[in-house]
Amino acid sequence: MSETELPVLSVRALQKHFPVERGIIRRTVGAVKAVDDVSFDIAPGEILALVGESGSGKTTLGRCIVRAIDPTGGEATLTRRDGTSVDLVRTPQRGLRSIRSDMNMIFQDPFSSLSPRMPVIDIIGEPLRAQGIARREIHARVREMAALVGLNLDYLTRYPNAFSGGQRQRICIARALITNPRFIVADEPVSALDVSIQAQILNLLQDMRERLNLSYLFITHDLSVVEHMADRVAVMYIGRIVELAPKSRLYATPRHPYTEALLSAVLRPDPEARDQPILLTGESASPAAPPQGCHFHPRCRYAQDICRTVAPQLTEVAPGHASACHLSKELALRGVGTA
Amino acid sequence: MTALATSMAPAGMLSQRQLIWRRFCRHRVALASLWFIGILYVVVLLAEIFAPYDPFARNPTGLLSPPTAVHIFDDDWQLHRPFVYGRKVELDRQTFQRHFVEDRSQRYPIRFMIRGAPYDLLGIVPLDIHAFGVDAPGAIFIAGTDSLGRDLFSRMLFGARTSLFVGLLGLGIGFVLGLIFGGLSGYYGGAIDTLIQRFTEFLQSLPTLPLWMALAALVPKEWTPTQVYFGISSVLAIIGWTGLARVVRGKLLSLREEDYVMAAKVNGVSEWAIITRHLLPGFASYLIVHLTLAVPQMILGEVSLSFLGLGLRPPAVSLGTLLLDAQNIQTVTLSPWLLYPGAFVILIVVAFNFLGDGLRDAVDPYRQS
Amino acid sequence: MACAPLIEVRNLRVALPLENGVLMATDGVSFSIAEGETLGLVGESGCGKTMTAQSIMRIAPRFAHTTGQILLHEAGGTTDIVALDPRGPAIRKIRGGVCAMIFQEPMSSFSPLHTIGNQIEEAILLHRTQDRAEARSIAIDMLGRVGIPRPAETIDKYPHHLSGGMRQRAMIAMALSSQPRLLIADEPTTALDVTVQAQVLRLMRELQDEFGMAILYISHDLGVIAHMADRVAVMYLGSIIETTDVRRLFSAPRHPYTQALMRAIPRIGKRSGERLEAIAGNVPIPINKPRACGFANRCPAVMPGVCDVRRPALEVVAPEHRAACFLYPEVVEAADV
Repeated sequence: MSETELPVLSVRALQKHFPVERGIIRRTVGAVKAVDDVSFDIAPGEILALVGESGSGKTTLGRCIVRAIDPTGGEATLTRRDGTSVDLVRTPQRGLRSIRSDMNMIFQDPFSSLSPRMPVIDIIGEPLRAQGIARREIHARVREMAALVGLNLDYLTRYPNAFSGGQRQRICIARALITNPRFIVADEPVSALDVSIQAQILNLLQDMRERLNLSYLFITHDLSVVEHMADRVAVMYIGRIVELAPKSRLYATPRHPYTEALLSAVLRPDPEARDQPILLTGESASPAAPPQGCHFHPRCRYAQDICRTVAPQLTEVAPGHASACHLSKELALRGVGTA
Repeated sequence: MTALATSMAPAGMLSQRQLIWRRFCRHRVALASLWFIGILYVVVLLAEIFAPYDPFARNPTGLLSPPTAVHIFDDDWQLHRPFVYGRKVELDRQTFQRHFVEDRSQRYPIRFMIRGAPYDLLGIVPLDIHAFGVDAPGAIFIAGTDSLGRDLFSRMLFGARTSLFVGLLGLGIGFVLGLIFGGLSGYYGGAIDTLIQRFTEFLQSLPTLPLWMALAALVPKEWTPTQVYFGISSVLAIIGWTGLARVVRGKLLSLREEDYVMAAKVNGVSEWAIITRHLLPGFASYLIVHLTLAVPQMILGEVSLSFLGLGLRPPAVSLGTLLLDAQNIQTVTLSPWLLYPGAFVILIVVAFNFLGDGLRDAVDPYRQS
Repeated sequence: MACAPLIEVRNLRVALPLENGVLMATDGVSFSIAEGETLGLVGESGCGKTMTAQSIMRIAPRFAHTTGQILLHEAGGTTDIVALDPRGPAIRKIRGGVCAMIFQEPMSSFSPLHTIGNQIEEAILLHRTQDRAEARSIAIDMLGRVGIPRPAETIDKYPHHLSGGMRQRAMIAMALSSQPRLLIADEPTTALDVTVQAQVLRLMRELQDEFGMAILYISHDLGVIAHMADRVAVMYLGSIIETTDVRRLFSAPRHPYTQALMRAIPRIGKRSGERLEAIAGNVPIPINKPRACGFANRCPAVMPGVCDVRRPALEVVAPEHRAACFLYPEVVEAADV
């Protein structure tokens, strides 16, 4: 990661507001701010983990970036393999089609993300077909990619129902990587898999990053996986990034109370470490009706008056370490040790 | 259990279509119905061959003749190939009613591929071969004759031809419209969806029968009865696509949310290719089911409208017009075979319904086997 | 944990006849749970852990063929649950009475048409009292004990009014309202956020201290199991392959599957960036299972000619520690006899 190199992806003030409609004529009465003013960069070859609980907007954010859904504001600049830059937010869907070879997405559920009525060879080759590449070449490249991700080449004419969850996720990965992209959004790629299969897929994603010089936006709720995979971590809470830091810094010295609680709630597979987690009261509020001020204040044990009225900005508290908390300079928060 | 069920997906290389077919074949009654319907369509298409007589040929000596019995033994219990006896008329001296009795002195063996009345097969090929029949002057009326002495079995075949085909055009129009409107509504959503949904509700609230009567009064006088029926059923189809449109919309709305559709979008697949390669195959099977279940509705519609005198009218032959003869309770008590077309209708409709049910079960991937 | 066993499962086999063969959901599962003890049942999807729980409650699919014994020891005597009529009155007394169950998805366990209170009261009326007013006050009391704020108001709410964590609390309240001796918890926190999971897990431990019931805790998550269980049984492909107390299991696992699993899971504190030691292959489907060790085709220590021709029995291989693997002479000995 060199400092001078342009980031692969540069997201600025990205937002996605879903209109709330009422009545027969669907009058817009409000907005759910699923993603609200989010900014970050991803360097070439970097893995940025996006952590959050359900309703934090992490999946929506990932989908907005690859334009599976259309964001309502902000910028997301992708630097392509040929060095040109393009703003993914302002390009219309039609114009995006040629850009799509530079980015792709891996979904959480390997069962629903593969069309059940297509043989695997066509599924993996679909991004190439969409680029108008000849069938013969598609098949050659599919075989090459399938071998790379560890699929049995004899089974390529079968349908997805003949494959187990782990193999299906390999198919998804092959499909996402076949156009030789620079950037991948991986949305909970191992959450739906069996424990004994997860490691295979995580290793595969790591290998592919090294071989193909990929960058990932790695979306997950599992902090153990994050610690294993990520270079930097962004923590989301109700539509906003509340903390963004290099991984080891974030785990050792979190600067946001939510990150602290999240880290302490991770259950380690170690019966000796039955330490009491910092219990948060309640659950995260609905993004349709977020609390005033800092979204986290109703659950925060350090909350003060200012937190209830003024929304904190994401500001740098240490080099490369940003936190959106009024008290981040004063609090000494508990992290987890990295052996 | 769900995780277990998905991991139990039958291994191997069966496509979705093959899986559906395998599930369908396990449904014996539906499979039998499929055979029945397939054979039925072949027979009525080639009705000229399978009918022993011209459906309009009158038999002046055989008015309201009961079904002819087919024998294989004669009076001396000697075995023969199937044959029929001749007929003669006897007058009951007390009631003064005429009865047909078998003339045991004459035997007419049933012959296959027999030469008889000439016809043009499918309107072009001149032929005079009939699948079965007996030599003149013998006659075989396996479903009896009507009040004008016409062979009811032959008329049933020709009538079924009309009934099975006359609504198909309307069905086709309704199908295309339902697909288009449902597709627009479900794929685009938003204002287009709202507009189409409100329009659909308006159409669904129109009463059909009065509309049908009004339309029947509107069509040009010089149209033949069949043309009239064609016209009306097409117009009805134009307002009758709403049910299908709802199904298509609902299905699209759910399929659009599937991850694999989003994956296709992310992979740069064009809208058109997403619709044709991902969405349509996703519910093509449901459309087939819908159509299969719509055909008996169409047949029943024709039958009941014709029976009421609103649909086809004689001399057009359809299962409905054949039942017109059965409107009179007296003829029914004396000549119950005039109800045979009714039984035929039931058989056809039930077969279609079984077929539809079998298909529906087969295409439903969430059904526990 | 030298208490008398509350429930003993002996050689439980559940076979599901399917179109392409017989699926052995559980294949000779035996374990026991003492009063007040928590047994963690850990395994991957399809390993039979849910089917085991469903067999205890007799809510397995109707076409399932169940053999073996599930002995429930009560003061009044011992009942074999397998021998009971699954729709008879005896099992209805046990189900939701002596044994209660909580599920992964609380939304689907509550009827959306009735208030939370109605459903909890119904359970109380079935098992504890005939008096409606008393049932209601017990229900309110239970909702308060599981940490639901303003229980007297919440009792008249419908399930969809509650958040996921609150629904799971209400579910626990319903399960505990009949004062069960055994609580079966089938992945109760899998659908919840980690911060909420921490709340629910603490609640369950507190309630166990208070009520003293035994818990059969089913999960695929080794972190949760390490946190909750006193003893652990590891299941793979329909069989228990290792069982011991939780500390021994995590400090010195004996079965190659457990060992491999421990190395394969990412964990905080492990040196990051280090490659995970993945287990090769896929989880097989137990249809027409051969008589062999289920893990043989993925096992790094497989012994050809041994592991793939006989099935290892679960034997004591160390103090308080049973494993089903031919690496241990005790298991080989048992197989030869």
